[in-house]
Amino acid sequence: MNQRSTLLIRYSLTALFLWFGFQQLTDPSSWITFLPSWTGYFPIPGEMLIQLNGWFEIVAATMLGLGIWTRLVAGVLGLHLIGIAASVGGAVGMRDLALGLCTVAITLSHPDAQTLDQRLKDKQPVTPTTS
Amino acid sequence: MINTRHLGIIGLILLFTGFGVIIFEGRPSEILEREAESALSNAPIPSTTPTPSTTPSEQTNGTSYTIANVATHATKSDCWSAINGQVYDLTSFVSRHPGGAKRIENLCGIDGSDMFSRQHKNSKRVQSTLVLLKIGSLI
Repeated sequence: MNQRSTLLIRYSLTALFLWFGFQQLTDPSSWITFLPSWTGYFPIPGEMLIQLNGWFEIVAATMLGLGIWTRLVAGVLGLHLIGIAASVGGAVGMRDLALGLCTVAITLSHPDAQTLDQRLKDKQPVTPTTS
Repeated sequence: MINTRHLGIIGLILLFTGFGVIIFEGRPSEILEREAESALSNAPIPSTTPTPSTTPSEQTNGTSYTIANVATHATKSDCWSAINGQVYDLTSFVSRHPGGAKRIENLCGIDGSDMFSRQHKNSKRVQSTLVLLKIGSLI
């Protein structure tokens, strides 16, 4: 994929996950209805679960935006969002599925040059090989 | 030299520290009460200055409710139930109940002790979930 395309998708998804993460952290009660019924097995308040999820999304989005462990973080976020899409269903689920697949696409492509993964890799001293 | 592995580990530390803060801050009110009680028992003898009384709205688990109070919270979006002498706000749990929302809606606004005991009498897991939803006791 083109470097600029990957960069654009990466920053867009970073903004998306950061926004939703902050929303969940600051106003967890609004998201209670999205919790699937199997979370009822956890002896954890619903609002706490939402806040934990929100914090996870914020940290992961920050790592994605900076380009730290880009492919791994993108894969985890993508699968996370696909799971949410499957749970929610309907039109919202369809939208989340598409976004999740876009996130997974970052995993499948080479990290762009703006990621810290690439920048720090480029700065590593190259060991000379003897012929 | 710093590399992305170091940064990734910093990210993970940040993640789990945040989890710890969220869990500590949101610890159940029963634990808060125990902490408050042990702080009071360790506290010095108070002065004669009268302390302001707390209104029921400022208390959490120390509040008592009648069944008539509970009956005024009888909808899916505002669901209280009395179970075994305690009052619980089940609103946030309606959609999360593994057995379906309807079973919880049937408890809204009433004394649900019989229905609850028949289904979950000996379940420690259910008891530990229920205690998080406690808002007071039934008088």
